[in-house]
Amino acid sequence: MRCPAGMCQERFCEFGCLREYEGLVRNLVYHITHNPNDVDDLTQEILVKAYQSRNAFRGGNFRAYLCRIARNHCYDALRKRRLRSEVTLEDAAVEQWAVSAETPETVALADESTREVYALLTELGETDREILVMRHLNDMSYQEIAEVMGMQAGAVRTRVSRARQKVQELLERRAAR
Amino acid sequence: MSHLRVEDLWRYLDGELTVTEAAEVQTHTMRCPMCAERLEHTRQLAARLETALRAAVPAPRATFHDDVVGALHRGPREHAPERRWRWKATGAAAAAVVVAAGAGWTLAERGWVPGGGAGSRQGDQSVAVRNAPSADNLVEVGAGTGTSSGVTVQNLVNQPLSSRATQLPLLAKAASAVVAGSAEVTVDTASGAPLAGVHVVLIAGGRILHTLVTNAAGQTPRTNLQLAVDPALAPILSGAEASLSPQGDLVVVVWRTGYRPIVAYDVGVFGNGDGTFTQTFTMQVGAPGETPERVGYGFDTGPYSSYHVLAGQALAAWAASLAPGSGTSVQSRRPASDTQGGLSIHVQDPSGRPVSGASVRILAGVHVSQLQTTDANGNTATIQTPGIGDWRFSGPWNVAGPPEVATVIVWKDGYAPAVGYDEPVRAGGTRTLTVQLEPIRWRQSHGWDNNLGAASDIAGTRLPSPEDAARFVQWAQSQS
Repeated sequence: MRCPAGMCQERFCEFGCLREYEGLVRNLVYHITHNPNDVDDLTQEILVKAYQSRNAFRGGNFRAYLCRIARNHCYDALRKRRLRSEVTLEDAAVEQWAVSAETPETVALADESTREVYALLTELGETDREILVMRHLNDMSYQEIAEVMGMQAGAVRTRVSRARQKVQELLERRAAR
Repeated sequence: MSHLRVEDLWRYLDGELTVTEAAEVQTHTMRCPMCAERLEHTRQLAARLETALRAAVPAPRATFHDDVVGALHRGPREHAPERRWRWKATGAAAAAVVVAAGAGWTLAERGWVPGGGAGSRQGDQSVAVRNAPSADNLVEVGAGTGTSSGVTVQNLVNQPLSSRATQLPLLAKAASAVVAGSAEVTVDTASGAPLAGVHVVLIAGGRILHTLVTNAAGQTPRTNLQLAVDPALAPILSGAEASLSPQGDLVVVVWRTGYRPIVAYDVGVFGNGDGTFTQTFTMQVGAPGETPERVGYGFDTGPYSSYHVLAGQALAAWAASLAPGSGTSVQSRRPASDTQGGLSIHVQDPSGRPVSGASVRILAGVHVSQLQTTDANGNTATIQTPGIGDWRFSGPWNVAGPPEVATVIVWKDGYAPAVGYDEPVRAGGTRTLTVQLEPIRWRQSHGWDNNLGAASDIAGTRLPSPEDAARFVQWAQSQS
């Protein structure tokens, strides 16, 4: 399927290329809404919306464009559904980790360390957490993140740096106890 | 021996250091156990962050991808959103474009000159609009070579900008003066319930075109509209040949007692070539006199939300192809104003360093400024230019005509060009405009993966003022 604007270079293709972006969107959706029950539906809605409005894509970075749609859609959904009142970040984390508790011991040990980091991430502000998701999970550049968040790339870099530093300090503080 | 900074360790792990800098980090950590340990801790933290964030995200259901593809094949109305976005969704009908000759052009004249009444319920309320289209300015221009809509800017970045002129749609051959289609507006509440009895007022070019009221389904009747093409884009629109379809500007005022009014400044109306324009608004409960909510496509920052990347590219290529030297005159359906304002351009790169040798031209209606080149400090001399009316802001309060704007085009080989479509021009005044030119290599290193040569938008956010929106609401209410 060729993008009618000729801008996407067939990257946003319903016959397979779309798969490339599913994870990108899913990661952001979950870490904004924290509701595992809604992730599939919201991700689907976002991909459909992006597909239907593909003529509005005016060039630039498509991943950033898609993430911006995803972010706006999630906040729109949160406003309308008040997801945050249904599931808190902590609850969601517990729900997830309950599943991983069934894994072998080695994995469980790794999970314990990972769970600690995840718990520390909950102490960051929402914006910082979203930025870290895009940086560490979606492997996005500072410029891409800046386009999603409507910030300057330098501001994103500073936020990433501070967020990492905070997590590191919290980890060191816990280790020292 | 000084130790490595934590930021440098992260930049090393992120692959952001130059080869030389990375080699220095490697050499240092081989000699310094403390920094080697820090680097290892940092690497572990990066891995733990990724693992923690990834582990939290639930896996998709097995049928997820197939479900998405299935949803894409269904029509828009089938997934109609309980959570709708405000912006337009468009169908796929053929464009109902009125071309620039014969009856279509007559319509343009009748619809836009002061006091003209055809098709308008509020003809006597229209205001004097300077720079309105005139048949005198309708001249067929043959400079455009035409191309298909699939212009891929990325493939052109290694060529001198001026050589691209023959590959991109430039000045119009028989460009449309008017774009026509039908509009439908839907209004709902924050809970998604349709809202009846909402006044929807469609305004363009200083005229109220229609006053509508939503029905029980929250919808207005589908209403035919004729809009003049966007004045900033008019010189480069070329009907079926262009990468841009003709498109107009429209202001939509939505109001109902007990709710916060909305003013939408739309650009690109009917721009997708399907002749339809639909828009959904969600109204919030509000007190009387509350500041209107302003929404505006084309007012955001960012390369994709700025409007018309392709137009910018075409403009830059066209400007680069003009003979250097004195100013020139192009054929356009937009006359320039008789007043002159000064613009002084400062060009810098993303690091804030001045860019010397960048070329600058300013386009306003038929007038193209003399070619200017930035000096060692990145500055041009003051460029005198007329303006054209920015009709998005036309109303009875602008009795002397809408604010005047000009299109600023900046380019240099090896850089993506920059275009500002609606840069304000103040008669008799001088304004300094700072323009960022992004090197192609810089874009590549910052994650651009397509359209590397796409033009940047010069202006930042320029959402109209609350006062302007309030005036539109007052005007709409007085006529509804």
